[in-house]
Amino acid sequence: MNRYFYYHVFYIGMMNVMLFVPFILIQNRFNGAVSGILLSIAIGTVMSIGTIRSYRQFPEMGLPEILKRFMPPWLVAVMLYLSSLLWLGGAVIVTYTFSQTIGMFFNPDMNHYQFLLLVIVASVFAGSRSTRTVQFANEILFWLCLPFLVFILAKALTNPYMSWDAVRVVAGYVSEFPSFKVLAAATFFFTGYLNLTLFNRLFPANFRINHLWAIPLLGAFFGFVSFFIPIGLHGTVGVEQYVYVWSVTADSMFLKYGFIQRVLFLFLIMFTLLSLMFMMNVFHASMEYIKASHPRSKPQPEQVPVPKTNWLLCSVFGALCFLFSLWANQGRSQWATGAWLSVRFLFEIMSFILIVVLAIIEKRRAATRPHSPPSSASSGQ
Amino acid sequence: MKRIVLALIACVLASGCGMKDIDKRFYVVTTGIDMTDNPEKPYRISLRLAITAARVESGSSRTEIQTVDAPSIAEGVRLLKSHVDKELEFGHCRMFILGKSLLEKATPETMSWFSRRRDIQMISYFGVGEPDALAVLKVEPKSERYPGNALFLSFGNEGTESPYTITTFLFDLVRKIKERGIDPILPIIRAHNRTYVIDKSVVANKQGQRLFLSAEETQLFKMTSADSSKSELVLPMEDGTRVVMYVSQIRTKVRISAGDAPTVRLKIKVSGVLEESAPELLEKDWHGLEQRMGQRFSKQVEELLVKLRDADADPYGFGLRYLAQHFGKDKEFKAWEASYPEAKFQVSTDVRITGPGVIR
Repeated sequence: MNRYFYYHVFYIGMMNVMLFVPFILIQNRFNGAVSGILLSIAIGTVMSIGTIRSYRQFPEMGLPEILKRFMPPWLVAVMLYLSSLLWLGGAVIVTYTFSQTIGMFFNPDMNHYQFLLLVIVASVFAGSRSTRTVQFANEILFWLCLPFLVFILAKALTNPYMSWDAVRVVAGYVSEFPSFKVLAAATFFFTGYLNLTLFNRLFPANFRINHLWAIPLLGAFFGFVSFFIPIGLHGTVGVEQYVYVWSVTADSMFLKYGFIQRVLFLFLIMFTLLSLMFMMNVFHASMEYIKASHPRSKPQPEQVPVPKTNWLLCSVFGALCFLFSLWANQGRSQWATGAWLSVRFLFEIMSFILIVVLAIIEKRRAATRPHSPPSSASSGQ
Repeated sequence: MKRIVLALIACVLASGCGMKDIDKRFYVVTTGIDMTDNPEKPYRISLRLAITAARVESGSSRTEIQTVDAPSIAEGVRLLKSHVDKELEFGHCRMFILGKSLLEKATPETMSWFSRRRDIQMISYFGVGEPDALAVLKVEPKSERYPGNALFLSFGNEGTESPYTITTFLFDLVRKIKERGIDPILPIIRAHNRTYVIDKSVVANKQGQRLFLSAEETQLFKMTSADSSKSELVLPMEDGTRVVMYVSQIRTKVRISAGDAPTVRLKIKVSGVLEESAPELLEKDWHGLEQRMGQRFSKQVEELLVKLRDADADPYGFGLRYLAQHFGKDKEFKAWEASYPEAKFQVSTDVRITGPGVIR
């Protein structure tokens, strides 16, 4: 079961490219990006491990069920709507960036709404499945991505044109203090643990997530790799001019003996898969939150066939993606991404505090329960 | 299920637009850009277009060249579209040749067209055409199997592995134009009968000056900057014969000490076998020969470094190395810029001759 948790940690770590995280960090490479990444390792680790430990108090429960134990239904509904709105924001931005990137590098003559339609149809279908199906789909997509990831990383790190001097020069700016925006972007590498809010429903009651030491290592690895490899290949100054910085970085690598010369195409395939994975998870989580906001709803993680509500909700999400891309252009989507990352960071801190507080309350309740009413203790046995 | 199938069919139909068949495209294989004397249309853009053929064999490649003068590169390419009957496609253009005249007047902004176009590969090769780009484009090598591949194979150790040929990719050129403490270097491509000669190079410094390196200097640079083996070490003897060593491995380490006048230390380790020498020369004085070769090589490298320093050019990236070594920032870079003209160089070469080849 451990692996189902770590798939999320992995793909969120890789997903950052689609949300302009490297771009934001690189814009601030002389103003605290390095220290921002270092600080985010500490923040991300504390939040991940704190959340994981808190969820141990709530076996087989997702966020909606936990909230319902402590709060009135209307408050729960408001909170669930807000959090699904937040995650949908991410999905909307990713669909837009994805259709732009693919349109730019695969076929610029094609109308990019067609790409959007393709990816939205796929995401609506994938997101509306049952939670168990989504969990298994994550596994399949992850293993499809991994060979590409390993190959591109190996290609980058063994590249003779990689300038380690440039990397060292930028690393020398470690003493600058990071801004809030940088910190918000850098902590995104660690956001994968938040899948617990939904997928904790599927973990059996006595299950504990192991290898927690891997979380800071993975987050730091993805953070440093996505920040430093573009700098090594495009220099400390030249790197700032690229908007799609990782697409250009992948294009700067060369396959001498492949069927194709441009690593770019492998990279784009990997990001098609990762975007689909992200969209699927976000659509699914938002859908489940909205369904759970109904006071009488019960979580049904293995419901087959899926009800009409799933289709309906996911189609609405898909329509939102379309509406965003009508409004957005490159500048606006960059602004929206920056704003979204900051809001997400604040939201993450608040939800971390909330879940820790709720876990402490739950622990006290559990500690007092066997003593006070003897009847409930006997019924528990 | 029916609805899903319908949706999928709709997607398949939708993707049909915007595609253009392969036989309605002209593949550009080499692009050349020169400067004209006309101030209103300063750029001369020449494209070498592949004529697609069913059979692939040596010498069967056929190409056609289109040239136009225009006020900017982008406009020139648009204008050229009206000269041809098929859509121009740059996705396979892996060679860009800048005319010598362009190199003298070009600004970094000239390069932005190349890095802005999404279909131009960041891994395409850049070179300087002598006397101009068009002359290089007009060469039709006999050995070409498919259009343009003679030039592609010349670079990046893909075909020939010449110690004289510097390889510069687009992304490398762009970063070195912008980077502090390193200057771009480009190979010079000359047209010679029906083939190309690529043995010299040119360094462009940040002040807009150009320093041309001879073939020997280019080889020295490539050996010491890119650890490029398959090159040679030569020692002329007193009796007029030459001892030539084939370099199978070369490693260069650069350390820069801080101070008012920085000292750049290059430690070079070379090993290889003798390819040409007088008989039994090696057996008489193995170590002495190694030392003499090393000393001569160090002296050559030092002369090259001094020449580069005096021209205020830094293709090795000593400035960047200096910053990296001392975790320097703006202040340190200013200090380096001021002190580079007085920098001292110490080159020491450790030559290991592994053997005299197959014969004694």
